[in-house]
Amino acid sequence: MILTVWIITVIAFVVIQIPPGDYVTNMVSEMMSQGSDRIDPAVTQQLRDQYGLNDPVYVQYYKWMKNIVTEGNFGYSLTFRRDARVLILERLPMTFLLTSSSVLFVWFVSLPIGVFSAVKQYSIWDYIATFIGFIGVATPNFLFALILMYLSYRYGGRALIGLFSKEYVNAPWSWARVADLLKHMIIPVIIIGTSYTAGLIRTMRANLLDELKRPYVDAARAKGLPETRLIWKYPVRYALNPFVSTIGWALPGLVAGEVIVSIVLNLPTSGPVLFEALKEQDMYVAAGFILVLSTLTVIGTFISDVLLVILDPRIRLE
Amino acid sequence: MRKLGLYFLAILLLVSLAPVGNIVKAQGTYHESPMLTALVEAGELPPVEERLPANPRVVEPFKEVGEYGGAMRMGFVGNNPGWGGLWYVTGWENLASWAPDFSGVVPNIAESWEVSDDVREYTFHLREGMKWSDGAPFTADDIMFYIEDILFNEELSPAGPSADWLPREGAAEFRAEKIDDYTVKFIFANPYGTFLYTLPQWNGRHITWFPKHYLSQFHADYNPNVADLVAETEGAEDWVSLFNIKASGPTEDTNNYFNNLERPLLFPWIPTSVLGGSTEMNMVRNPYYFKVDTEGNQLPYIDEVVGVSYQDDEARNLALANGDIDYIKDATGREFFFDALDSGAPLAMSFWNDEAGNTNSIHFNFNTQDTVLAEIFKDINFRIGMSHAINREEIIEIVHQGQGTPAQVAPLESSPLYNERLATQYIEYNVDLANEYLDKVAPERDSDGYRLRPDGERLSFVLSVPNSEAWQANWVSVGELLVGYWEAVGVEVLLDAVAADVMTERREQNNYEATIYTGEGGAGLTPILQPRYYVPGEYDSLFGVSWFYWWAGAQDAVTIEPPQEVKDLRLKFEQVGQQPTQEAQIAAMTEVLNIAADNFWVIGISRPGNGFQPYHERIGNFPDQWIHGWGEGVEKITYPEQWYLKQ
Repeated sequence: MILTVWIITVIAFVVIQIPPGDYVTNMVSEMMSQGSDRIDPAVTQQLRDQYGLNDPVYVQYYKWMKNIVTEGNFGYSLTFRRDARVLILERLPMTFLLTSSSVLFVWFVSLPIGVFSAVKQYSIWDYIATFIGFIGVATPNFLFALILMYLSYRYGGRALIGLFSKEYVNAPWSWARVADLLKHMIIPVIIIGTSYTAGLIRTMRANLLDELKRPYVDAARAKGLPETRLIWKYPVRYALNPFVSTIGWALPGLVAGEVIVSIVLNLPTSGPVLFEALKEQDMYVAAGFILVLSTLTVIGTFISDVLLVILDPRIRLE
Repeated sequence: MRKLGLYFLAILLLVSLAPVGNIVKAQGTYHESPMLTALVEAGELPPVEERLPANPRVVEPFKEVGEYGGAMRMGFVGNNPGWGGLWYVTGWENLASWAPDFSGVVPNIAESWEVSDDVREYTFHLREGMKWSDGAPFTADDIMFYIEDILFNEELSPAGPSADWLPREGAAEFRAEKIDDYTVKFIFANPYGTFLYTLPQWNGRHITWFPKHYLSQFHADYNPNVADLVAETEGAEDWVSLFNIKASGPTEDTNNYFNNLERPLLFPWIPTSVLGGSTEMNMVRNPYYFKVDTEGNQLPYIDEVVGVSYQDDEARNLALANGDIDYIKDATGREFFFDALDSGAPLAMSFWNDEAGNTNSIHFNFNTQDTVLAEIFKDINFRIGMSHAINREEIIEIVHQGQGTPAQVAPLESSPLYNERLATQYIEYNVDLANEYLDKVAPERDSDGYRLRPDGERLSFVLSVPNSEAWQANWVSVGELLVGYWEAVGVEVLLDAVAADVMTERREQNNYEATIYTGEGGAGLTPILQPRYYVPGEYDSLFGVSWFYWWAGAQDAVTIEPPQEVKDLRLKFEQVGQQPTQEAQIAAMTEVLNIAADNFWVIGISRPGNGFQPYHERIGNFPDQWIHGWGEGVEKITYPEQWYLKQ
C-alpha cells in the first residue's frame, strides 16, 4: 500500500513539471494579462531562485518528500503564499462531506431501484428506471450543473451557487449555517451522484437476476417464505458483493467528478484548488492534494476489502 | 449603443505640469463613519482630527456626497484577489494620481511638488501628520528607506538599482535627499521630463510602498538577529526572501500584500482575512486613510469590502446578475449583461472609452529562428501586402459587433500625437494591391497556389495566439479570419491558440513566428507612456522581443543584439522623456512616430469601440463614462474611495 502511494507521488510530482514553464512564468503571464508591461527579467530570475525552481526535479522532489516524512510539512503554496498543509486541511472536510454524501445518495437511490428493476424485470417501471439511470450517465456533469443552475435561477429566483448563502460563508458554525449548507448541497450531490447511480442500478439488477434463478430461491418460495423477506434476506445479500467492492473505484471517480461540478457551481472544495494548482504549476499544493487523495483512495479500497470479508465469509476462506 | 465622444481627451495633459488638484481645505470639523465613531468612543482609536493629516487630500464626489456604511462584494476569477480586481479598487495609492477626466496629474500622497528647470530635480512635499493604517506616521523616512535600503541595497537589488520609474540610463547616479520630515528631493542623472506621468501609474507604486517602522525588522542592516525570523517563516530561505515575503516587494509581486494581514498600508481598505478555506476574503476601511470629501467626511464611504472568488466567468456573471455581488473587473458577455439589464436584474451600466490605439496588433517576429522567414518578415513590402489583404470591415462586423473603424495601431485623432500616416496607411482592403506587394517578396507559387520562399519552401508560418480572454480580447476569432484572408493571397498560415503562460515561455525562448496582441498607446500622451508598438525594445514589442531581453540584460531568456538603426531609434525615444516641456516632448515623439510609420512595425485592425461595465445599481458615484486602461489605473481613475452603497 505504501509502495503504491509512493509511486503515485513520484508520478504526480514529475507530471506536474512536464509542461513548459514554471510557477514564475505563470505569474508573469497573469501580471501581463492584467496589463503590466514592465516585468524586469532580473526580477523573474530572483523569484526563481527564491522559490527554488532552479533546482532539478529530483532535488525538488527529495526536499518535498523529506519534509513530509520528517516534519509533516507539505511545502509552501506559491499561489496562496501559505503552508500547503493548512490549505489542504481547510479544503478536505468539505470535499469529504460532499463525496460521502454523494456515495450515500448513490447507494440510497440505486439499491432499491436495482432490486425493484430485477424483481419486476421488463415491466414498465423497469424501463422507466433504466431510462432515467441512463440519462444520468449520459449527461455530462457540467451540463447537468448548468441546467440545474439555470432552472434554479429561472424558477427559484436565484441561482444556487456555492455551498453557503453569502450571510453564512465566513460565519461561525450554527444550526442555521448547517441548514443553509444542506440546502446548497442538494444540487451538487444529485449531480455528482446521478452519473454513478445508473451503473450501480445495472450491476444490482444483473446480479440479482442471476440469484433469483437459483434453486434455493424456488425452494424458499416453495416453503412459503413471504416474498419480500425472501428477496431481501438471501439473493440481495449475495448480490451485494460487487456493490461493496465498488467503493474502491467509486471514490476516485467521485472525487474526479467533484472537480468539474465544484468549478461550475463554485464550491469551496479541494477540486478547484487542485485544478488551479495544476494550471498554475503550484506544484507543492497539487502534489500534496494528489498524495492525500490517493492515500485516501487506497484506504477506501482497503475498507471495501474488509467490508467484503465481513459480508461474505466465503472470501476469508479463499 | 451610444457612441461616446472622445472630446475631453483632446485637452489631455496640456496644462498638467503644475499641480491642479482640489486643495480646497474643508471647513470646520471632519466627519467619520459611524463604525469608527464607535471605536473612538470605546477608546480604541484616536479622534478623526488626529487620524487625518493636517491637510487631507480632498476628493470631489463624482455625483453627490455619499452615505457611510455597507459591505461591497467584489467578484473575481481565480485565487488572486489583487490581480483579480481588488488592487484596482482597494489599493493603488501613489504619490500622485490622475485627474478623473485624465486631464492631468494631481497630488495624492504628495501634497505638492516643484520641478527644477532642467527637469532633473523633483521636490515632493508630503502631508504632515499622515499615517499608515496602523497609526504610525508616514514621513520622508519611509521614502528614504525605499531608496537607500531597498533600491540601493546590493542584496535586495542584486542587478543594481532598478525600478519601473527609474530610467535605466544613469540609474546608478540617481540620488534622493531628505530635506525635512515632510520633504524629499529626487535628483536624476539626466533630464526626466515624463517622470510625473509615471507617478500615478503602476510604475510609481514602489515609492510610497515600504513602511520603514514595520519592515526594518526584516532587513539585515537594521536587525542583526534577522536569521531568527527567517527560520520561523514558511517559505523564506534567507533575509532577502523574508523581506520580499513581508514587504511584497521589491521583487515579490506587489499583490502578495493580500496574504500578509499585519502589513501597514496607505490604502482605503485593508485586508482582514486571507483567501483560503472559504471562497471569500474580507477587507475593512483604513481608519487613517488620508482623504476627505468636499464636506469633510473622511473617505472611503464604504465600510467593508468582501472579495468573492469564482472559478470561471459564467458563475461570476450569474452572481452579478443575481445581485449577489456588486462589482466585477473585466466583464465578459456583453449580450448576457444587456439581456439581464432588460429583464430587471439589479444592474446599472457604465460605458468606458478605451485608451488603446487599436483592438489588435499583429506582430511578425523579426528574430524568428527560421532565418529565411525572418528575412521575409523584415521586408516591409511583405507587411504592407499582408495588411492590404485584411478585410477589416468584416472583422469589425463579426468580431467587434460592428463597433470601431479600420485603422492601424496609432494615437487616436483626439491625441496631440495623432499621426495620420501611421493611423491610415495600408488599411485599404485590396487583394490585387496585396498581391502586388507580396510579389515583390515571393513571386513564385507552387501547384497549390501558395507562394514560395527564396529557398524553394512554401511560404508558411505559425500564428501563435494567446487564447486568454483578458480585457474582452478576441484574439482567436481574429486569428481565424486572418488565416482565410492571407490564404487568399497565397500565404499559408497555421493558427495555434495557446495558453497565456505558454506564450510567455515562447517569448522568453524566442520560439514563435507571428502573434497577435493588444493595441495600447492611443489616448492623449499614452503613446509616450506605452510606446510598445511604436518603438522596439519594450516588453510587448513582440516583433522583436529578444531585443527587449538584450536591453534588459536577461539571463533566463534568449537575447539578441539589435542592429544599429534599431538602437538609434531606441535612443531617440529615450530622449523624448528627457525633454523639459510638454511641447518639446510632443515634438520629439512626433519624430519617433514618423519613424514608426516608415518602419510599419505592426499591423492593426480597428479603433476600439466602447467598453461596458455592469455593476450593482446600489453602488453610487460610479461614473457613467470614463477612460479605461492600464496606464490610467483601470478602476482607480474612478476614485473607488468615493463610491458608496445606497441604503
